[in-house]
Amino acid sequence: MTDADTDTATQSRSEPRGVEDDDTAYEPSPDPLLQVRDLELHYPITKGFLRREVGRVRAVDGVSFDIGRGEALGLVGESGSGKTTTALSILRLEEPTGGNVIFDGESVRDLAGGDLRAFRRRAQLIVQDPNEAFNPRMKVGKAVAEPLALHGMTDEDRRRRIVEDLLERVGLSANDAGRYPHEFSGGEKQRIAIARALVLNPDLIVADEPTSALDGRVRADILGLLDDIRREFDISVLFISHDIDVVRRFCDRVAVMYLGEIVEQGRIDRVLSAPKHPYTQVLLGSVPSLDPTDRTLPSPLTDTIPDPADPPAGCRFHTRCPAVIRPEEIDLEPEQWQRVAAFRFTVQAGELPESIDITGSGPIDESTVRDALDLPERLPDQGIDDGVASAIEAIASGELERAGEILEEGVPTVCEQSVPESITVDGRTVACHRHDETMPGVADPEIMKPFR
Amino acid sequence: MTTPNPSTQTTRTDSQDHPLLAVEGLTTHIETEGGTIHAVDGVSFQVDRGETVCIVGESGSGKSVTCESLTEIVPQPPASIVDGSIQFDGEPLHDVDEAFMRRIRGNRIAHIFQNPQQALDPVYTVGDQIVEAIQIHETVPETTARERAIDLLRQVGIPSASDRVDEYPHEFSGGMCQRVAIAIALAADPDLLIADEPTTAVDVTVQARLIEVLRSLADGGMSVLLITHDLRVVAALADRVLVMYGGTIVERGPVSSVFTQPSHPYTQALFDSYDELSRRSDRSARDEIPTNGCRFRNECPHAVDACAEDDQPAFHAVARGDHSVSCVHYGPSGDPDAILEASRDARPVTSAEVTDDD
Repeated sequence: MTDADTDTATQSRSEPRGVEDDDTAYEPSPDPLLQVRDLELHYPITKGFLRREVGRVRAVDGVSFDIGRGEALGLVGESGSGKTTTALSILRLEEPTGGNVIFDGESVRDLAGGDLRAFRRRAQLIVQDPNEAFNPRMKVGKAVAEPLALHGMTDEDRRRRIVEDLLERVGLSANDAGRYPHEFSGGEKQRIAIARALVLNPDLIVADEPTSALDGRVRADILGLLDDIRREFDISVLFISHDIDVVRRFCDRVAVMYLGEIVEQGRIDRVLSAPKHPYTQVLLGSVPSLDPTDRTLPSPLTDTIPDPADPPAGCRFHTRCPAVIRPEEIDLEPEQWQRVAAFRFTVQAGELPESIDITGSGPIDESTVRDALDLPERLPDQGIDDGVASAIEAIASGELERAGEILEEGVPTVCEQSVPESITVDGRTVACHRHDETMPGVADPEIMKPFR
Repeated sequence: MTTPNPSTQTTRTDSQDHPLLAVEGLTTHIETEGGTIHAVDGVSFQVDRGETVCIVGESGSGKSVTCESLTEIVPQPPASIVDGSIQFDGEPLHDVDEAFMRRIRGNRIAHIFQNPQQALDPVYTVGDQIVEAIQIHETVPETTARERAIDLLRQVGIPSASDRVDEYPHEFSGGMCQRVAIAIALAADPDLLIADEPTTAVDVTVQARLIEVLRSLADGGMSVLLITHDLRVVAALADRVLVMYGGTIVERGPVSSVFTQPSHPYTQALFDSYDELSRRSDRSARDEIPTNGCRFRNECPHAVDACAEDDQPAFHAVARGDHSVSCVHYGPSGDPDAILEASRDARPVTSAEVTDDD
């Protein structure tokens, strides 16, 4: 950690909060095509004969963003973060349980009948696996023309001309209309899928991992084609991908999702070059550098992604966050605090280091646990040291759950106390207590390594 | 927290003057209805003890068939290994009987694949599967094998190993399944681990942990032959790199040298694909890849008549160490400066180049 890093951290924390409180949850677009507000999709967990609801999986939990006309927004995050569910709820392929989606001024959730069909003409979906997108027994010309026929174009000659034209536009030839899907490579099939998405002149394309089944130059080609097309036809794109490289090259803005929520969003260059949310930092830092001399990879406090049916209180990332905020009354060095917090959340996740195997036969002593967790023999904060000691005692006697309870009480964090609001920091919105100067506690400067 | 203890690894001090694996002129053809595919066409390379070698290339470059030919797990037919010699620990591995190959496979050379769920049997506990792998290769009592299974799970970073040993594959996440697959591969304490796209199906955060597991195995003295299309994974793990295109190796060298100065036009194109949006929307995958000369010449911006000569352009030294490239422009009569100049813009993005425009 250098002094310069510390400076930036202090600076960003002391920056004023966004002025318009209502508008801080997303970055409003001057000319929005799509406005997503507090979108929510909870799946009920039911039990028994009466299918009584016993819980809810909060797959998408209050997501807000805008996509301007001709703009590409990337949605990134780990599997299970709710990226795809967000996309499907926008298209109403899944029914949202809350919030609103405004498409070109109209509320998508209120659409029915012909209006819904019209919306579905204007918003198209491209999926990851082009092999699953086509009927193997239908010639690709017919597959591309099918949406036209479904939406009422009866003139077969006209359909054929449009399709042949489009196939050429996506880099294939008009003759390819007479071939079957298996005659094409994966990249070519994705080109055909793009042609089919374009056939109805959409205003919005939702692309769910469109290049993830492809590699190397074919991936770059498809990305280039999609980019040409969106600029030529001024199409807005919601681009879902776990591949940061692809999002970096294709998108104007990016939104980072974690456990059903957006934790940071803003212009692609700002977010990727200087991420502010620790989750964004961990995510970006986990992408190996192309510089083989830089082989450091960040470690979250635990590897366990919490259950979306029972998300952590406060900031949902706090159980894994290497930059979790220390309450003022706890007197520890930054590194010590990080290790103690890691101890708490590792125990609570039931994910002890492999060298401490409480289910094994051998006895466990205190020093083994302290060594494995890199905890010093004594911690300067008496209260914390007592808590850690009695938790270790509980672990040694095989009571992992009780150890978790002891630590939950003995090692409190600021981040779990309240849900962070989205605030504007350095040209992007971020939902993290570290950037909210009204929060109590000590946000130790830059425990995180800066992103490379 | 997932770093296995290196001391549990067998230290391999028996290093002799021959490399662990030496492959010479390996050629594998695949018969299809449309004719013979020259999947691997005269590939030569070595893997030293404790070294991690990465083969990088796109789908169809022949990187997987190369590795599957080593232990003959490539299905024959349709494939047939038509030429080449393979020396493993000084002994020939080609033209051996099936019984001998079975002893090598798993015992001394182990494979892991992209999709671990397919490698695991859903109806047996992971412990049973590791115990089975141990007992196939060595006669040990059940309890000893089970103890060792738990140790292996710990070594690949699975928490609460003695609990989880009795769980079924579906109770593990994708990244944890890959760790189990690695544990099974390690059961017989192999000298060489062949890993085919082991991190392709997982999230980057999980990939980071698997990279750490593979690194710790290499640190413990194991040789790793890693196949990937992802240059970033190569940068994170490799000691040396082999770049494959059209069944041939086009560039080879230490990772630092290849990544600072990618020299073959194909390698440069591969780096480009990380850096910019391709404007070549007209590229057709149906272009025939030639089976002689430089396989890349039809797509190469620097192609000349000489590229079509011979079997494959000779390897010429590029820079430091044993970095060399199979390209006529680097030969005595060639002028590589134009190519290297063109690659200026194609250099990998480093932290210095990512700037905040505040």
